[in-house]
Amino acid sequence: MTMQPLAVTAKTIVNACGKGESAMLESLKKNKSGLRQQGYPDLSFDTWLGRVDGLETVEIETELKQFNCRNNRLAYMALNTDGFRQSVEVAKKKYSANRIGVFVGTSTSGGAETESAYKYARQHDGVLPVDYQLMPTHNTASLHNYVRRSLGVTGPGHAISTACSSSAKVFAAAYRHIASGRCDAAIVGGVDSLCLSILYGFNSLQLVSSEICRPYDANRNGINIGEGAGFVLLEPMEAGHGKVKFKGYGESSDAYHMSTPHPEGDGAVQSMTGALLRAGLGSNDIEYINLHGTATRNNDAAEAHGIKRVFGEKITCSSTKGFTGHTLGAAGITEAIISILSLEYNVLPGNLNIQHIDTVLEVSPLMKTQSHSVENVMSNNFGFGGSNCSLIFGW
Amino acid sequence: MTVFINDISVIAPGLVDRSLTRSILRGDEHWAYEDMPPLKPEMLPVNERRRTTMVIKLALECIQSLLKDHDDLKTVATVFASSDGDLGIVDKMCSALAEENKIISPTLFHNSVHNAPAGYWSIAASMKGPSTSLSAGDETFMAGLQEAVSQVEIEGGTVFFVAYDYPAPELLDSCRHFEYPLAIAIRLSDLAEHKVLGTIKLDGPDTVAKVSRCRNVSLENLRKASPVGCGLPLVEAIVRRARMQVVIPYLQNEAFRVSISH
Repeated sequence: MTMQPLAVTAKTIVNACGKGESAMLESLKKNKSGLRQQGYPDLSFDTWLGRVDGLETVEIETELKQFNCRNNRLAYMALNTDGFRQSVEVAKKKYSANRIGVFVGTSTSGGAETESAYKYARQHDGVLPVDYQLMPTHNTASLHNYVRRSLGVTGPGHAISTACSSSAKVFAAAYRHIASGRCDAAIVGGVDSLCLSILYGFNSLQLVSSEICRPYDANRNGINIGEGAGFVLLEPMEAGHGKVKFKGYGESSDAYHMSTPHPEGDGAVQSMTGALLRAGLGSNDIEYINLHGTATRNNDAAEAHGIKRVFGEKITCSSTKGFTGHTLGAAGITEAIISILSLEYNVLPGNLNIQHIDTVLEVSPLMKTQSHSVENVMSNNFGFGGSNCSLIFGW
Repeated sequence: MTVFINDISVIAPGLVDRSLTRSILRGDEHWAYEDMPPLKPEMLPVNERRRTTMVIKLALECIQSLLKDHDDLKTVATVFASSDGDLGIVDKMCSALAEENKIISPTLFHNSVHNAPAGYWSIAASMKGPSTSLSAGDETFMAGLQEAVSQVEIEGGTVFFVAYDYPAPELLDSCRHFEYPLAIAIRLSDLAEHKVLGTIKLDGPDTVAKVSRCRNVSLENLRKASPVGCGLPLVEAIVRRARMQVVIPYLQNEAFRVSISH
């Protein structure tokens, strides 16, 4: 059941490494992390964060001000980066606005707005602020609604919220809507922004590291939370001569535990083999894997097991969470774009911060960024609830 | 490709008993509000059930009756559609975070993801296939149905589609009001099964078509009660084995025409 590849004709990325693909590329080439040991308002424990500077003062469109929240300001920043908005304008002329779908992923949407509103209510006799609006800021579809209006695109779509696989699964949804004729092209993406629910929530599971995160290290002890945004324009192949192709996707459920991956990586194996099947490729055809690699004990062990089962021990791979932090609902799109950049610029990212290789894992990530041209790459994302997604990009 | 509707399920106050629900959807009986008995989706192990919320129980109670003995648990896909997910959890988390010590329990946190019902369902049913959890605000039902039908068309096999929303606790109810809880589930396949109810075709968006109302007028209050309600005219048509077009609200005040046949 192979799929008809789609062309990646435009993209934009914003995260702790900076704004735009040049900032991302420079970080990758220089092995320079965007993570910083820094605080966050009302945060009472030490950690490193992948925070995007300047988000507090961004002003979104006046006519869309009801959507104003940290998450949508980050979306606005990304839409205005790398000429993405202009590329969408060209696509609108080509396909018409109602034939372009929008599929976006987010985990917590504008959750920080409700957190502030409750803090206000606690100090004001339990009354929420008059200007607090749940629907345009915190509803799961807020990002979807905002992006559609900001870009003036009216095709089908929705917001996917499957924790850390959200903005990987948007590629699969977009493909299905294009292949079934419901739209001709699609904007896929994802945005997640810092909020206390996530910081304290992951901390309650003892999954947040007080140090810089060290994916796949023998002494890895948890994640660093980051925020990020990314969008990709997908068009039929005839529009994308010489462009990187989106070639395959695999989706699966662990059916094991709400917040712990299947120890043998069963779900990961199913999503990776599903992606290979759709791309019509064998495991030997994949030359680099962008790992989910969160730096928790369990995630990295389960993923390594799965990778070994499908690709053996020799596969070239790395987690880029040491650059960006774990951007959760934006991890899928962030790492998809890094994978696309690795194809376009022959840059295979290093796995930052490893001090001691974990020999138990039997999978050895690249220690430093390498310059090497590759034909096909995979990106993995696995989320709470056992939601797995693997994507394949290539020439 | 023809997409078959092989089963449906509806759970709401006054729509808990399966045969009474069928009679009401056929228009043979009136719907009247009745307090829902505590939902105890029996597929979920008791220790897991204790950790779940009303929203999770509502979604699971509705979807579990779609499962058949012959289902291939490795390939059946699920689409969980909910506009607002679990506002009860949002309320609990934000209340805790407004306190000085900000204590959140691990269970509260992992239940807070939009795909928590999907996660619990996959564990309860050992279903390892693809699963999507989505939202499109007030137009969530049609967005979810479109994703589910597209999955059958493109991937083949069977897809369980479930749409659900549950009333918010007091403070958030002032921002987002759902009068009643409601869940609708539809079993969609590329094959007609033993008790097939009909076929479904998504005709497309329409800027002028008027949104369908319930044929059984006693269901109108339930239809208007949440973003799931707009699916009731569709399940009425399915249960009545009608051959008709149903109009469901879609993005930015558009509508979407869906044809039911048999």
